[in-house]
Amino acid sequence: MTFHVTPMFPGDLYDSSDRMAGAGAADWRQILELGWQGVLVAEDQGGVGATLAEFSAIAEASGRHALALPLIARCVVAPMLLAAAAASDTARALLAQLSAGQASVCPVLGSDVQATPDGNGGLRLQGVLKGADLSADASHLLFNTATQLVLIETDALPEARYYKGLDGRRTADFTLDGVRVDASQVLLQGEAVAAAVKTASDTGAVMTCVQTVGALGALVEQTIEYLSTRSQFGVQLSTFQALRHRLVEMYVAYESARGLVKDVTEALSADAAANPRDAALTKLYLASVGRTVAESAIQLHGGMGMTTEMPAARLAMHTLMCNLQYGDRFHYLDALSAQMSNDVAALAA
Amino acid sequence: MTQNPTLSAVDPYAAFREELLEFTQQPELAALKEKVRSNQKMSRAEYSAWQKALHARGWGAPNWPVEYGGTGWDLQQRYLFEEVTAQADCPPAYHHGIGHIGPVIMHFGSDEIKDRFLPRILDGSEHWCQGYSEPGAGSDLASLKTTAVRDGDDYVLNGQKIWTSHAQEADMMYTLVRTSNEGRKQAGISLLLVPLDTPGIEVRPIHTIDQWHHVNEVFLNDVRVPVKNLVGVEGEGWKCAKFLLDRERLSPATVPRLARQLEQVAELLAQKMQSHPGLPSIHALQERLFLAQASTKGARQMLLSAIQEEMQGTLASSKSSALKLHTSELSQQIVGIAFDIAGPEYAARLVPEVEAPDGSDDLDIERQLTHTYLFYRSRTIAGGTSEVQKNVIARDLFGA
Repeated sequence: MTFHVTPMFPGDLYDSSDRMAGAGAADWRQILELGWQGVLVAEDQGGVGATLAEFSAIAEASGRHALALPLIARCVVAPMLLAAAAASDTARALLAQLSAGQASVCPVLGSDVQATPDGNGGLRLQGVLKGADLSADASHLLFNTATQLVLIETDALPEARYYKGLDGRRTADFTLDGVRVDASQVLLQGEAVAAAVKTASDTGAVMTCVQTVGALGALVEQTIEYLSTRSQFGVQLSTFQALRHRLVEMYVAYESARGLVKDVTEALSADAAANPRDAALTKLYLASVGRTVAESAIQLHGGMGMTTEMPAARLAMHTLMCNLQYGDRFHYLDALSAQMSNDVAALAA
Repeated sequence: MTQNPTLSAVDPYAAFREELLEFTQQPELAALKEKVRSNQKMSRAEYSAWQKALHARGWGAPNWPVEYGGTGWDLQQRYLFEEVTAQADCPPAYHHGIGHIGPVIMHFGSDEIKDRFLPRILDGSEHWCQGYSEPGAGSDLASLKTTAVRDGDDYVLNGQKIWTSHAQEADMMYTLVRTSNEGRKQAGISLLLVPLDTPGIEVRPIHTIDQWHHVNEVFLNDVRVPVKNLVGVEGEGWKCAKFLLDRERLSPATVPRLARQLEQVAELLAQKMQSHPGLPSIHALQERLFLAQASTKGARQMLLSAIQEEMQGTLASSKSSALKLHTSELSQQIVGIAFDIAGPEYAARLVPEVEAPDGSDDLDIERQLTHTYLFYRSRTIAGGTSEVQKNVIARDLFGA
């Protein structure tokens, strides 16, 4: 028996995502047509009203193919932010539109953009929005300041500076100095903004962990395949114990990560207020084992592991990218450490 | 630790959990639990006391069928038993009797052997050890050389066993001996039950780095063992050993024990944060703690899904071996954090020459976890080294 991945979240959505993402050229229009942006949107807001666990099937299978499209940003984070702002007519209309594939909202969280009143009920913006993921066309950008959640149509934005990210995705920086928005574009204000951003970001973080598990399982499969195919010194690479043992370490890391992520995702799906500490632990752990497995996969593929034509190399880059999104390991390490300090102080008091 | 929804949502087990919890709270167990809580080395007295208490409750053998006095529990119930008892600081089961030789005797032993040995394993009155390894037969166990030569109604044993845990306090040793040199080296091996008070047996302690007395050398010089103490058929001892490995490939005990130890290590670190506020290097320990916490949650889910797969008959051996590999390394990481917290203070003052009269040395958890750190280096060596586990898993993953 050679190894084959057992999906965490099997079913039709997994199969559909597996087919779509595995079909070669990634196609965002197809994702819009499939209605994935509306999977998590409530039914009375025009969406499917599925659970997070159900959406996770899409994320897991997309991770298997290193899909370098803003799946989590557009289908999880943006809808969650808009749902938190559902008192706004604009937000409600947009939820229906994105569910129907007629709009696509690119979230940019944690920017240092400043907003000051412009005297006419609107805001004047100052600062740079960094790293907007525009690998797929977006109709709107959604970003936050400390106390505002602001929507801007992409057509109204100034010229951007574009980049190619380490996994091939296309991102943009927008300098917003002097850009004005009117009151209807501020979808949410006050303390609710930070809470909404944190919930959406933590959920996005867990979803990147789901994608990572998809990628890690595929890396184990493909590394076994490569070692079993390639010969040197007249024998298959898979006969060398040093290489076999390193592959086993990749496999064990995958199984452990899979167990953790499945459990935490199911808990979060059943209860959106599930222990946020678990999400932080998961992200920290996945960043650690993801890095190790990605590096091992590159090493075990030899020179081919350095080439972008090799699917395993793309999976390794996807893993590194997922590990860094919605808070890197240090972000979550700091959060866990601060919580532990608080707990200790509370015990002492 | 939060309970897994697949277990707690299935209500049949809720009442069972309550029953277990109630049992662990009885005051008679307090002294025993104190020893476990402080991570002291368990010896025969503690194992026997625990076995006696379990037996009195009808829970003496969680892994045995009812007809032999076992509980007949399924794997999920056994897991719950392990989780509740570990959380309550009850001792682990003494594995050599209940876990290892008991099931082998049930499967291969004569009625006479069953009647004579099983009841005394169950009530904890007879203590067992395992005579497998030899100086020249470790991972390559089938190379063992201790001979058993038939002489009338006896076998006469000559040779040496090594790494024999608990031999210094056991009554019986189940042992693999060579009854033939013909054919494959696995073919001439037999399983014998040897009373340790038989003349010709000498047990010598091995001094190990943990400074606890676990393991011994056992020398066998013209030791006469009755033929009726042979388990199964002469020359088929390897089959018995393999049966044991296959049957015990999935241990529900490992994760609950290390999860409890991890809680204790987290408490130690919290205490250090209190006594040394603002210490910058605390972050290095915290990161290791958090990673171990995440890893333990992962291991627990691996175990729970392996239990379900085993109950459905679909468990791949790569997964059970991966669990052994993962948890043995994880347990080392956990006590490694404790070792670093205890630090030079305990390294320099590990074993008091004269114990404090109030018993506080034994109850000092930092001292005991320093011993445990050293002892746990054996976790990736005993019961199949990590390197052997990796060979086994690789064979499964590569299909060759």
